[in-house]
Amino acid sequence: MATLAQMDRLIGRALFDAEFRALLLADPEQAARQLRYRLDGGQIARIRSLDAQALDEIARRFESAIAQPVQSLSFW
Amino acid sequence: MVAPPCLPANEIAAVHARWRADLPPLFAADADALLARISPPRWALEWSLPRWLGDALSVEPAHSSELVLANVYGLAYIRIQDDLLDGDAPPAERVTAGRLSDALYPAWLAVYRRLLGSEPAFWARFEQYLAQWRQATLASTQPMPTSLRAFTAADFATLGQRGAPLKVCAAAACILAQRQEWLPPIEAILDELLVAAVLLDHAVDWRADLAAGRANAFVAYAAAQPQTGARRGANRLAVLNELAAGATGRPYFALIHSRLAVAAGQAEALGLMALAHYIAWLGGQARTLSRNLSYTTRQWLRRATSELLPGVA
Repeated sequence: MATLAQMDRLIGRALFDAEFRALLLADPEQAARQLRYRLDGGQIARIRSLDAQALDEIARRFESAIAQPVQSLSFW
Repeated sequence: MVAPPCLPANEIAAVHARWRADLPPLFAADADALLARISPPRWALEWSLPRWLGDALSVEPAHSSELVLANVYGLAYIRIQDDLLDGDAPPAERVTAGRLSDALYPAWLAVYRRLLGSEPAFWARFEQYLAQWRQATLASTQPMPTSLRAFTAADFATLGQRGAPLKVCAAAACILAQRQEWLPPIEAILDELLVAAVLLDHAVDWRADLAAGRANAFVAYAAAQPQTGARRGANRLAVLNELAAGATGRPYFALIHSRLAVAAGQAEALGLMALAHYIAWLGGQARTLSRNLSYTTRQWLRRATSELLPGVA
């Protein structure tokens, strides 16, 4: 069974890597194996039920969340 | 943000007064607006370096104050030139910006003429540093190496030379103190510091640079692909992927820290403790940025994954 951190990495990778996302949605076990993780049956079923739109929405919100403006430190 | 080490408030106020007195009243509003944008706690190094070097080299305090003033004039001039080149000045403001920079340049030089006359050793360095800046500015409009791994020492040096005019005050201080032998090691410290500072700025500004088509070292690190218009979208995704699923920039920030460590060690070895403290502060800012990025990313992904996969994540 993949740990919480490993599940986060799977989803994180699927947000902005189109190839990996397609693989994750089509074949979660194979995608997990790429990262040397193992999924249990429940995790596989749940990932299979994801849709690309939900991931798109999460990706959009992630980009907004982590791209907070930071004050530049100097004149360069 | 923790405030950087900087000049005392009374010295900053004195420079403000001279700025208002020396620049033509016609540009007062624009000059004041620019001064507000470049005053501490922003630009702490630019304001304070002449004082720190002057004190360490036993330059007369009144002369160090003049060097501070010159630095502010000169670097404000450079900032306007950079903004005009980068297209950051809105069209309606370009004419005024140009006129303001036309007033700042002679004010900048006038300070050095008062202090150093026609001293060839100084003016040769002045021209050298401005040539470095012009070269680096030109290089910034050209493609940079595709990946950070492909950067040579010369590529990193060119990045840092966008800040080469900062070294003018070091040359002036060393010559005024009749300690020109100090200039090469001080230049070396500032060169390392400038490279680290530019790399840090690129990590902060990657999105704006990508959108504006400006070459960015953090994008080179994360995407390792040509930074062309056609690849803008793909490079943006590559940086986001690095943040969401990669190392959140840790190797890049390690490079910044290695440069700052060299600069700090050299500053301490020379007894330039105020500068060493500033470098330590900058290192702290870089660490904070890197940790916040990692922490925010981890926390965000945790919430997102729980939301997407309730019950199994």
